[in-house]
Amino acid sequence: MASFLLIVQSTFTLKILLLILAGSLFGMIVGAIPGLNTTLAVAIAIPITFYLEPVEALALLSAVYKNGIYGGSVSAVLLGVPGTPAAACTVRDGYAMAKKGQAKKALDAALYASVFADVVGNTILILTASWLAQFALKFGPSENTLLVVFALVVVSLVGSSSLLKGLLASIIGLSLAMLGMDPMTGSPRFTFGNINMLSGVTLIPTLVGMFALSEIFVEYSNFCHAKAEGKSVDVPQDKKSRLSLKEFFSYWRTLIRSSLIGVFIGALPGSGPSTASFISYSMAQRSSKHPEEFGEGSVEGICASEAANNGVCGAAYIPLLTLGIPGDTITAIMYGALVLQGITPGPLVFTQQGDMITGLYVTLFICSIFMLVLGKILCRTLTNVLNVPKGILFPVIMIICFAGSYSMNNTMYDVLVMIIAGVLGYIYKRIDMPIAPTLIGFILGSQMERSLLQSLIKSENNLSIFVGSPIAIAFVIIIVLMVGSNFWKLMKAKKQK
Amino acid sequence: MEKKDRIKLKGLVTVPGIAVGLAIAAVYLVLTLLIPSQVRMTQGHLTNARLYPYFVCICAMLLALGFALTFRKNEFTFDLGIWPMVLASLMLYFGTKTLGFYTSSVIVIAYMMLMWNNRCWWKILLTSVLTPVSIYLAFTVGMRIFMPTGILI
Repeated sequence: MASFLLIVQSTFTLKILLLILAGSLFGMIVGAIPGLNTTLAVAIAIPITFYLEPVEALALLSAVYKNGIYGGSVSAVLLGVPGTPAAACTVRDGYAMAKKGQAKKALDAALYASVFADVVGNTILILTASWLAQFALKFGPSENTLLVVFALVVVSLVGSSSLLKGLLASIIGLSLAMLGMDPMTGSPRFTFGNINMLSGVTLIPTLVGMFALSEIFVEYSNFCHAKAEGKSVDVPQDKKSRLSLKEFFSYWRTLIRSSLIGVFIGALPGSGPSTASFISYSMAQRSSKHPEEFGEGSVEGICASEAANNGVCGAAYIPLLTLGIPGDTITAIMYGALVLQGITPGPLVFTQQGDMITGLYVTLFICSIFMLVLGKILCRTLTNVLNVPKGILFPVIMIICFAGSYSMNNTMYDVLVMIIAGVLGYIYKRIDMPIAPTLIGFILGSQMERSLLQSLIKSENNLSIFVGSPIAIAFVIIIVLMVGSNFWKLMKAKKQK
Repeated sequence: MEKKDRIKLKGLVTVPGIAVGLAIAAVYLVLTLLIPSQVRMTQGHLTNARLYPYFVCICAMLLALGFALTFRKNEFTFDLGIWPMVLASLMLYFGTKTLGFYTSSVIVIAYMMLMWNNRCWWKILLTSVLTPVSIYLAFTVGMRIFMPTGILI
């Protein structure tokens, strides 16, 4: 208890509080601007974390993440355009309320629901993470191999419109991880005689390129073909029509159910806030006493959507910290940030970096408090930010991406990697291929190769090691069932056609 | 305005799914053929160092062929009109090597803003000067990261 209090005390430093403040502001602003998303915000913030302590780095990134997801609701309510894909459901009721002159009430509902779900997600993370980590310690090389395969299959299934596209994206990620050095023998591989290639494809520039730079290309393409809508922002005039806490908590059933949906989906690898938001919204509509109000300006609808998408945030740390498997693109970036700090996410983090974990738990709650306070203060100011022209925003973002990528290792090679990754990310977006499986395959590639080869060495090339323990058998059954059911559905759909 | 839009719309290129799939498969075919020259066998090691690269490349090739077959009728649209942005990133890359980061970022920001149809000179001037200054303050003064200064030395 004394050591816990000591860690809590050490977390409340001015530096951490300022980092959370900066991260919250940055996340909220980027999340609120349609076209920019939370992943991009976290990717831009990552070079800064290189110069921070692990807890400070996680505090900054968590603040950007949580507030970025919330920020998406601001433009959803005021513009009718979701700032982030996760806020797509919020548009239906939020914008309808704004048109009725109840923008302030809708923004309050989004804020309170986000903070409520955030606290629920953090609490469940704290209660379950160490238990899951203890279980994960039982994994040997064969279980680890199957765990990576399982994660890639789940990400491919959930995060993509087609399993084939998802699997292809995953294997592209695995092949990117293959460039550089052989993790077992240390000999160069696919370096083509280039000394820079010995370090392989660098993670952070790849992330920045695939998310931030490719977004600039896509937005420019939209700008050229006049797809971007130039709506003007209506500043809420109805200051007095706020949402009372009594009215807010009258939706307690929806809030708890939606938060738990968010937590459950966040804990699964591959699914993100958008999925949670859609499922929660449709469930809330089905079980509501007033389903006819959904889409017409229902506070309950906003609560369902926002509680689910913010419930994901805390839970997304569960697979990252306990299994070392990033659940979505944002936690994949956080994985990169931890690796930069010399920390490999996984069950051993709980024993080797216990202070960091406790510090992270504390900072997650501080982030929730900051979200509440800043959300209340800034909702009017954010409307002005929404008017910043993209023609100013994107050139600045490109320069920041460039500086961030260079600063990783002070080499121009990383900048080149970022540019190539940007073009690759653009191609992905054009062929509707999901980026998340590539990224997660890239991150887990060396782990997969190492554990696969260790399993083969241990079993003297006997493949039965992959069904040699109950955990391994369970993984194999789940993977076969998932892939099999997907094929079965496809065949059934084809027959019906 | 209409003429300008028409010229820009010409940048759109439609590629059939089969071509995309075959192109990806071709990349992995080349990588597979390169394995003997690019992956050195290690003497005395229990497992073959080429096993994993072969496994990944062949799986990727098969999946890419599956993609080509499944999406053969689909058409994917690429916008070649994004070249000014690709050019801007390359200008920044090569510019940093010669002129230095701060000088080239001033040029690139101004160029990008013009490409985004900004015609207000003071906004262009302010953004293209303030951004590198902010980067200098944040990275060099704040975090002690020294960006290439080039001709500014």
